[in-house]
Amino acid sequence: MATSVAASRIVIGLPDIRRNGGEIRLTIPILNGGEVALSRLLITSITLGSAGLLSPPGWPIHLNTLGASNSATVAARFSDQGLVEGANLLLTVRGSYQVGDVSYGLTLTRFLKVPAPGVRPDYELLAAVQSAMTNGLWSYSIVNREPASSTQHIATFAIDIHAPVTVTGVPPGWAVDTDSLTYVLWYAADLAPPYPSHVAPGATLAGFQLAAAGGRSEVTGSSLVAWDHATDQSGRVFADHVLTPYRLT
Amino acid sequence: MIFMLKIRRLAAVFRRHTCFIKLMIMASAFAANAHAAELRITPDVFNLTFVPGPTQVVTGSITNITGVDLLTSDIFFSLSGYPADALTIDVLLGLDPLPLPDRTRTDNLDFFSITFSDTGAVFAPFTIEALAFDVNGNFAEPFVLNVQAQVQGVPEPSSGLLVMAGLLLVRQRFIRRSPAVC
Repeated sequence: MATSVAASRIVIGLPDIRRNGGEIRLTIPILNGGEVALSRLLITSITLGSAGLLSPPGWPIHLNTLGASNSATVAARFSDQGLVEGANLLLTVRGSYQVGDVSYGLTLTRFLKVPAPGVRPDYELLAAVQSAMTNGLWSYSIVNREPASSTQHIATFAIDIHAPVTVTGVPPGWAVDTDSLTYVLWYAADLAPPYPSHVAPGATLAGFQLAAAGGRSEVTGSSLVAWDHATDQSGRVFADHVLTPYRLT
Repeated sequence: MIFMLKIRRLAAVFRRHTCFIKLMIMASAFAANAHAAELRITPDVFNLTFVPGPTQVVTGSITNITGVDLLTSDIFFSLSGYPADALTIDVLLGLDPLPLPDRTRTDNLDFFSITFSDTGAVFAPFTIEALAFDVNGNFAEPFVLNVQAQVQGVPEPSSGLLVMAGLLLVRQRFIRRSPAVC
């Protein structure tokens, strides 16, 4: 088998690490310091010592082509339960890439210190997206985890897709906008206060669903945007990964 | 004659300034080191044999001439270039942090373990490319581990036939030499 010495310059850069709300959030830069572009770069696992993985909900994450002297980022969330501030944890990112037509394995590591708990940024919505796939149907539910006193109500739910899909589920009071190939955007159809279809703090809304051929999943990005009922303007945002139909190769 | 005088003068200058010249030589030696590899990662072996199942640990030494004291947890490995489904690599270096003072060499360190996959036999030799760098951005020279082909344990069909023929021959002779019971 041919080797690809140029790929030996692929490393983890200095991750952005934040800890709040019982979670550790990592944004991990992956740097290609070699002289050859790496195509079909897939991330197939991310571990952080013994910390429990909260997101992504599955694998792989496609980073596509990583050019020479270029970088890409991948995000992950872990539970901070049982972690000691200042302790060293080994971050391990595993995956694969192609040079030419040949596929190679990849194991990247870096030690990170557990930071002190911090404050959640003002722009960040406290929320969650749950995704599952059964029999060719991808189902989603969204959870507003803001405190009861919060004025942030979830108004839109968007996901990236890379395969032809059919939207088979739209919750009551919501509508959908999609090109059936690259994005799906569900949004609350309310036009005026009191916006009864918005997802209130503490509430969960299910019924978002896609159908696609193949029955195989990958992980892509998703976002929730809240509407601030106090100011009647766009509010906080939450970004995460979800399971979506596997892309066309 | 003039040439000889010049040589003698030069020798006198050299004798007078011996200490200074020695200092200059030492300084240039340090300067040369500053441009050499500041972090040296040397595995004990460069050749491994593909054996499915058991874990093999790659050990080696680290020479720290980065100018600062380090811990083993300040050094990170990136491993690539191997068949994606053939093995799993777990980094061991730094899990129990040890001091790596500046200008020291530490032997017998566990770098990482390799567990070869049980499924999908790999018969072609391949390599694992290893790159290490420290928390301050000093990169060691990459090294390559050569993984030899898995040894096939299944006998060839012709060998099996030969063994069968031999057994039949022995059986025939045994039957001929056996005395009649009645």
